[in-house]
Amino acid sequence: MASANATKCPECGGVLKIQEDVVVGEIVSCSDCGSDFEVASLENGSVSLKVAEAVKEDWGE
Amino acid sequence: MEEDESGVNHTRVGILFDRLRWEEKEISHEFRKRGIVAELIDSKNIVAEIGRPKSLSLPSLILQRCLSFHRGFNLAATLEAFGTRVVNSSSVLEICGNKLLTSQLLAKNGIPTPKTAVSFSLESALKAIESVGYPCVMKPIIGSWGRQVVPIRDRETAEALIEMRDQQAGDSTNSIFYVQELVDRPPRDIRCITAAGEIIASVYRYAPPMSWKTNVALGGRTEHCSLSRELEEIVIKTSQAISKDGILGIDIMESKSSGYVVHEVNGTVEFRGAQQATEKSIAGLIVQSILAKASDSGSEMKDGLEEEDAERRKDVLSAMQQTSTP
Repeated sequence: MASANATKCPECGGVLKIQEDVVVGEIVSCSDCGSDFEVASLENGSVSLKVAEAVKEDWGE
Repeated sequence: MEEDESGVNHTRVGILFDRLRWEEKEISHEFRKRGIVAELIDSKNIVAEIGRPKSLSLPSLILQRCLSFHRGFNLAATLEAFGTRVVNSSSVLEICGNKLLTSQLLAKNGIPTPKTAVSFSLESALKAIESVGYPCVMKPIIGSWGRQVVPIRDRETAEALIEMRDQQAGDSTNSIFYVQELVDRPPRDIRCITAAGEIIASVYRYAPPMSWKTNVALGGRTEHCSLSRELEEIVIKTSQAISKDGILGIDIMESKSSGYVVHEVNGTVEFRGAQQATEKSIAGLIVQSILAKASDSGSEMKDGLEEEDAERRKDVLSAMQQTSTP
């Protein structure tokens, strides 16, 4: 858990910036390693992340 | 459908997603501007018991926005079986998600499309390619973002690609060879977004440098497109043929030899790129269309206001529909 503004990337340890208005289910990406994470929960201003689902071959329009 | 103690119908609205993108947040925002709290529903968390609608507690009106075609289509079908109204419906998603079904429906309705052939085995693939002629394009019947779309300019390339398909492990649609003429066109196509048969946005999509694919997801850029009467009629006719109520992304090419041809219809349209070249809020127009249809069907929207009688709710809904979008 970390503040709603920045957290440590679970993959590479870099700084992962998070928008103030982030919502549960939104994707945040690490600018250092490019990993995608999904916002799992928001509690008392803290953000909990989980690894985002990988892009699959039937994704997109 | 939900009813309160006085028997008044209240319809909740949900936005079904698997990856929450800019588009879904914009749609949610536009509902909120109209006093409606749309529930953001993560499809990845849903477990439904077949034959037991009460196994889920979901809104009776849902906007399907899953990025995954199979997930979105199958979820829509599941929710419809439970009595939920889903936009776009599973039948629309099925057609739009399969290029072969789309082509068949467009041709049946007299809508101009590129010359297309299909075969159903490796043995007949070359015949399909040569019936269309060179240059042509081979496309997977279920695919997106321009993946596995391959131009074929001669027989040697055709034979190599057929052999590659044979080597590919994967789903059984590999044995379906959908082949279309490579349309001689400017380095762009036209994307029109329609809602319930009305055109709400129209843009040119230019391919990025060194590419012929115009998908914005691949780096293409957009520019507003003013529609001629002819093109407008084609787009509206396409929209009516695929879905009278749905939200569609219709892609058209300007063939130098045969004029406008519709080559694809998208059932879960991405519109961030189109928004960059469109003055009005596309999400706002989508929400307006959905609210108008909900009103026509006689259901009322639960709008986050304090409990009020049915007449005042109808007045509020009517006022929301008249609100102009930015």
